[in-house]
Amino acid sequence: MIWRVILGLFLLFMLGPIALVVVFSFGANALIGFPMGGFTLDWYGKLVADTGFHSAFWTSLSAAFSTAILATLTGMLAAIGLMKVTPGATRAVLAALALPVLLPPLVVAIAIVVLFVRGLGLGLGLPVVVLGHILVAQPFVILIVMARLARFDQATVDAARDLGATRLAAFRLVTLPQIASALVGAALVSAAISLDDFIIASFTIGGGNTISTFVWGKMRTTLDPSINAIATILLVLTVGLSALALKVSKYKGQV
Amino acid sequence: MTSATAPLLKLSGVSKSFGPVTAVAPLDLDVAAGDFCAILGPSGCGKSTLLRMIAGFIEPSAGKIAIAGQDVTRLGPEKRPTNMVFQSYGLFPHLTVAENVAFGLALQKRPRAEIAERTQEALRLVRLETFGERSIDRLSGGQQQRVALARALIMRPKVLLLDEPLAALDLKLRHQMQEELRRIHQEIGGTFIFVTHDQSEAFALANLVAVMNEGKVEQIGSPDRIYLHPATLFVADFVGETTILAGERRKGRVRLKAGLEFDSKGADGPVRVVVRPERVEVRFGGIPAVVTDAVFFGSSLKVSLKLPSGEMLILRSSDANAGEHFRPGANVNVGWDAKDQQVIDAP
Repeated sequence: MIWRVILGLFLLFMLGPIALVVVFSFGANALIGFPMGGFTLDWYGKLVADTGFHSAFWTSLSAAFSTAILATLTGMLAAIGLMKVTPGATRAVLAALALPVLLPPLVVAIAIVVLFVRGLGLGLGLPVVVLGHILVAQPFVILIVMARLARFDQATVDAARDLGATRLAAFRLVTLPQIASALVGAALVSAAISLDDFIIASFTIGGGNTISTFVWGKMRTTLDPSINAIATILLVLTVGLSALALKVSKYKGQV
Repeated sequence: MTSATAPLLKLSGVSKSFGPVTAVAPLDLDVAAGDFCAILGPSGCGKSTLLRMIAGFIEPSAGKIAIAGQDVTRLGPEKRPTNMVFQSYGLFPHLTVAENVAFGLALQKRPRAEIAERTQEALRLVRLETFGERSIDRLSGGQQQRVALARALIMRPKVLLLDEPLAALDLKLRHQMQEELRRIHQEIGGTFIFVTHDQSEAFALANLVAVMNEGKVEQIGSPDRIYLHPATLFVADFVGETTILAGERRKGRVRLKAGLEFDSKGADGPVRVVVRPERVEVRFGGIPAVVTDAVFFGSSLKVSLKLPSGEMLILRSSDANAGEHFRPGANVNVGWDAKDQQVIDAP
């Protein structure tokens, strides 16, 4: 019994704030706090009418989409390459590639600005945001695809070649269908990571907004529940994408 | 260069090294059309490497591989008239049985009717005609093996390669599949080469056996030739039950430690004499021996004999009543015909 109470308090501590955000996004009062004053969808309606939110929303979606495609493509090639080298080399490369995940996001964000904007002269904006997101998402793609390739029977590729397939045809007809679910999962995880990010985006987006930088800007001027509505939308998107990714890729956490 | 007598598959001086390690030492092998050839050897002897070189998955370090007179040494597996049955089968898990079998023809963009017809024909050959729509993971090991076979045979390969085709099956299924393979080989009259570590499998299926050890081919020949006249001590020891007796050759005459003497051409020096157990028999004036053990196997009796030299000799008798002659401790005289022994120069 005592353990259930402790577990209950723990869950309340962990999920309570998030639950409140969602609850208040449906509250009629303009001030965030109890009593909420009844159920309403006004705050969502306000967002629909807000052109600033529109552009932030589409920027976030295109960043997420581009990150998903590019991180999955490059991560898949890296994973296939890493399967062909020694385990020691694989560990070393993975450690290096995982650094952007382990380092403080602030450091990564500054590094991206230093390299891409100051160093290479790319202007601030969506392309640099996507480059930064790829840097963070790609290690996850590599791990997911490698986990799938570890269970992959190389003899199926050999068999395809033996039956007359070129390397490319064997990849397209035999390898790709077998790892497709892992790739879709990896793409969804990448999209979720991109939607999630605030720090890299705020450093590199320049004049525009993603959803998270839009919220940041709004927080400093207003404090009405439309922010809660945005947060709820973001929550549904990222949790939904991650859950879908886990389901599609059947990823069990092993490498 | 093609003529009626030219071998279908010809390996000349083919070898493979991985860095400093020699996986396959230079070897020659001729396989005629219609042959059922076994490459026999213990695990790690290089037999799979040899098979993968014939298939085109591994490029030889040196030498030449020709199939039907055409040099295929530098061709990839997709360009060779060979097809392979893999040890782990390598079936495509995302395709049905019929789609697996049709894979090669579909790549060639054959007409749909032809593909359907030949797929059905191939499935009938391996007795899986009603399994076409099944998915691969709903097949037993033996059925998967048959699908792999059908998928290779549908290509009508000049040479069918099989990598330890029966290793993953249990004993009963293995005997069944041996029968199947013999039937299919006879039915389509193709040329099969398979790799195995099981000498009884090699003898049951093949009409040509190449025995390999540590990357070298020790002997190539018919099963009976290999069994009765092993070229090396390794072959004698690896293939079947055998007795190896030590002796010495001086001026064309061999004297065994066990006491026997006979003429044998060759250089002076130590030799070994190989005798198969079923060629040994009780005879007057033979070598005196003491029975140490006799085991009844139903169809035969295996007798262990101690010779004056201290060496052990095995005798196998198919006489069911022989048991009474071979009680442990009994003294018997044994011998064998000179044609049934093989003299090998000791290393």
